[in-house]
Amino acid sequence: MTVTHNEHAESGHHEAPEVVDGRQRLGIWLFIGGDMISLGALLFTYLYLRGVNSGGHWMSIVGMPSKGITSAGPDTFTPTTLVEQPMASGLNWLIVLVVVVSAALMWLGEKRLRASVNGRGAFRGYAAAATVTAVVGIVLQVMQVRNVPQYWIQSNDSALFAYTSYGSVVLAFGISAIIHFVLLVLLGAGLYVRAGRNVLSYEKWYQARLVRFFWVWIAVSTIVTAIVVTLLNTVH
Amino acid sequence: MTSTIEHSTVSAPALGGGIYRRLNFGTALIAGVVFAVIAWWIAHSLLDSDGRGFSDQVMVITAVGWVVGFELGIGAFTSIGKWFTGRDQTHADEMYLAGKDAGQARYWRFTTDHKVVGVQYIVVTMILLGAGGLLAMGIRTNLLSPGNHFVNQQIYNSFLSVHGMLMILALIVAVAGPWANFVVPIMVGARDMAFPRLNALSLWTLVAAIPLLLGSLAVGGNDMGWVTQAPISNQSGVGFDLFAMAIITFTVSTTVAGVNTICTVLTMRTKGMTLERLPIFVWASSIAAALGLYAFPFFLVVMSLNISDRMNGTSFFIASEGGTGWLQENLFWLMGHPEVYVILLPAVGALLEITTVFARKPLFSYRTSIAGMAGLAGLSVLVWAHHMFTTGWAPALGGPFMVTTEMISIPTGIIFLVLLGTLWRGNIWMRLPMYWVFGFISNFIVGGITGIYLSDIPVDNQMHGTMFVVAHFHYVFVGSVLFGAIGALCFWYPKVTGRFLDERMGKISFWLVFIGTNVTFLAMFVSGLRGMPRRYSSYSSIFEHTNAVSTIGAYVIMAGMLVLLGAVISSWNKGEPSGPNPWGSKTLEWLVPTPVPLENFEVLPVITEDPYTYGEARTNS
Ligand SMILES: [Cu+2]
Repeated sequence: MTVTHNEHAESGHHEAPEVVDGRQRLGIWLFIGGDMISLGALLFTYLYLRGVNSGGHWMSIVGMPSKGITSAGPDTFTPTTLVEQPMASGLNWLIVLVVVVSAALMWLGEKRLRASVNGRGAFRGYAAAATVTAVVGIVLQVMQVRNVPQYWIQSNDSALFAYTSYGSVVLAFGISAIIHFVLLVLLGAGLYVRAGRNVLSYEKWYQARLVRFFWVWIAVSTIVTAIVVTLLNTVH
Repeated sequence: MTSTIEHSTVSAPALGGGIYRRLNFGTALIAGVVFAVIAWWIAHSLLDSDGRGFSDQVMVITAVGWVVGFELGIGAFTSIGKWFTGRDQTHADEMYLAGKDAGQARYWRFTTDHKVVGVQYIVVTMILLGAGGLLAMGIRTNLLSPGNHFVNQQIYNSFLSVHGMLMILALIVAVAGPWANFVVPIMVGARDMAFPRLNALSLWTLVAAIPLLLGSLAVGGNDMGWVTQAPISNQSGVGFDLFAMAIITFTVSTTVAGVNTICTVLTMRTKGMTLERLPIFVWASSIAAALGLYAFPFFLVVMSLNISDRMNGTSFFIASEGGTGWLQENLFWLMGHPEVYVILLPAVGALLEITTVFARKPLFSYRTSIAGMAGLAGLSVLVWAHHMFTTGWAPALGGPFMVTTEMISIPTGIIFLVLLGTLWRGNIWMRLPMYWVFGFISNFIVGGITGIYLSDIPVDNQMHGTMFVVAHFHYVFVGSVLFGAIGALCFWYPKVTGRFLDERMGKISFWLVFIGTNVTFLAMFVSGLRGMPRRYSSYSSIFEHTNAVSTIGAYVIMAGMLVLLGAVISSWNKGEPSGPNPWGSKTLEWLVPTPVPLENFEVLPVITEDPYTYGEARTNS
């Protein structure tokens, strides 16, 4: 390989912020790409289990309802075939609404930050609002997870908590969403602090966009999940 | 840009009170153990108090404690904490993290210099191979004769599971870990990886995963094989929880590493380093990294769902509650087949690199070889169900999956032709790295062709679950990938150490490993053809002779690997000095001094022609 020396090479090895930003943008999109595959794997799980409806147990289970039974298990076990109804979709769509609003707030904040030298204060307001909204999303999502019906089933003479396969995947979507929302809260709070310390500013706004990309992706993933879970839930 | 030199006058300030500069592997171990114990104690007190068995939950929480503690103790979260509080790292901090003037200590720390990370990966790979190899010796010793009980059956099963997974992890990182880190940034003309801190994070996250995997043996093991087949994995003891947590930790490590490699290649190339001028190893590493980004999320998900079934009461893989083992198999092999090429591609790329240098010829049909690798990666995501031909899942899809699997032999054949074409009429310099290339050619033919047999459903119906399959994939993993990894080590060793790997010991090692591999696995083909099932700890006396031969062959491989280890250690400080470019290579990593300075280049080079101009008249210089 023939090599000549770069006459205009930098001496201090410092790179322009736009160059660093371009690299980080590719990085965040690759991470989002990996996250998309994970979501795809969960959607595949959902549609596959619904499609095969193994043993007719997509939304039914042989056991006892868990309501009113302590963690020690029921005293007498009288299992019957219980048929589950799809979960009410209202809370699910409320979570979607909250996360979409949260992403929109982040996006508006970024716009204000980039618009003028005085936008930093407004950005902090939007970032705080987006973060608080994401916290609300976590609370609602925890409620949703707790709503997934649990049952007692008998296994080798002992009683176990169990979910139907439908309930299992809804639970997995919920836990995954909670983990992602926690990340949003941390990122949002971090941006809020950084804008306060002037390391995020009119000149140095790039990280706000990186975070916004992730935020919007989470909103999109929440919408996709909600569509699948609320529209395709009865036995195929 | 016009840059300033303000940073050069900054003297090293304390990095946030000083404690951050005292973190190393020792503090990581201590913090990991302390956090694991605390996590165990909290989980145990809260969950086990009413006498119900929450052993899976306790084990998973303990594993999380270990990983978090270890990462805190090594300093992986330091810069995240600084980002969060808006106190970004100064240039002095970055130089400290890069290991400037830190001497040997930097190898024991969260060091961001890609060359240090590369060396750390060499050591980690050797540890993984060594541990997996010891388990292989245990397995083969048990199989020395029918009814031999070197270990009991439960331990035997655990040895199989952990041997399999240790070796898979070892081979995923064997080439991509050391060399995509050490040489790729220099090859593309960069001062470091795109994200140096993520680079160190990926290394230390991998390190955190290893004790979990080995620890699974200590807490009762697991008996479901490396494929973690449900429902066996649901019924396995708590060893499975550590096993699965090790894999989840590992997927974080590889995802971070893959993003880093791709970003480095796409955004850090120096002036004139167009995509057509990238050394073939860079292409191979990047394609493998992209494929890994696709594959490993499935690994993460399948292991998470498995743990969830065990501790949350979910029923993804439990047939009596609406789940199905087929789901587990699909998710696993959606990862599992692409992963074979994540493992194979970097090894092939390194061997192609070696071949051009030692045949003193340009790579034969550079573009075709890239197309071959891209074709391999593309097709590899469409073949996964060939692992499930005999399971009864979707028989109607058997035909299509058979076709895609057989089609994948086309890009494989293309890459093989590129290798042979590069050798053809070359002026071959038979130094140590070339031995492994020829070994690869011989072994990969066997591993590849038997793969085509197995892709054929009628044949697979006979062979599935026999030692024939085990022999096939060991020809690929040991005979081909391990040969590529060792070839790469012999080739780039002088760049790392400034010394040749001892040629004589290296050749002894080659012949032992080469002969041992063929003895072990040819005999294993025979065992399989005669119908010996895989994963059995004992067998009928009709398989006696071939198993004895396989066991002897395995000992020979081990002997060869020990000779290699001896050569690596003894040559490190005492080998024959090599100078910066002992092979007369033309890729950039050989044109910088040895040892490679921090930040690699005094002045970034400008590239004016492709890297394989061997034997061509210089048209410009
Ligand atoms: Cu396969």
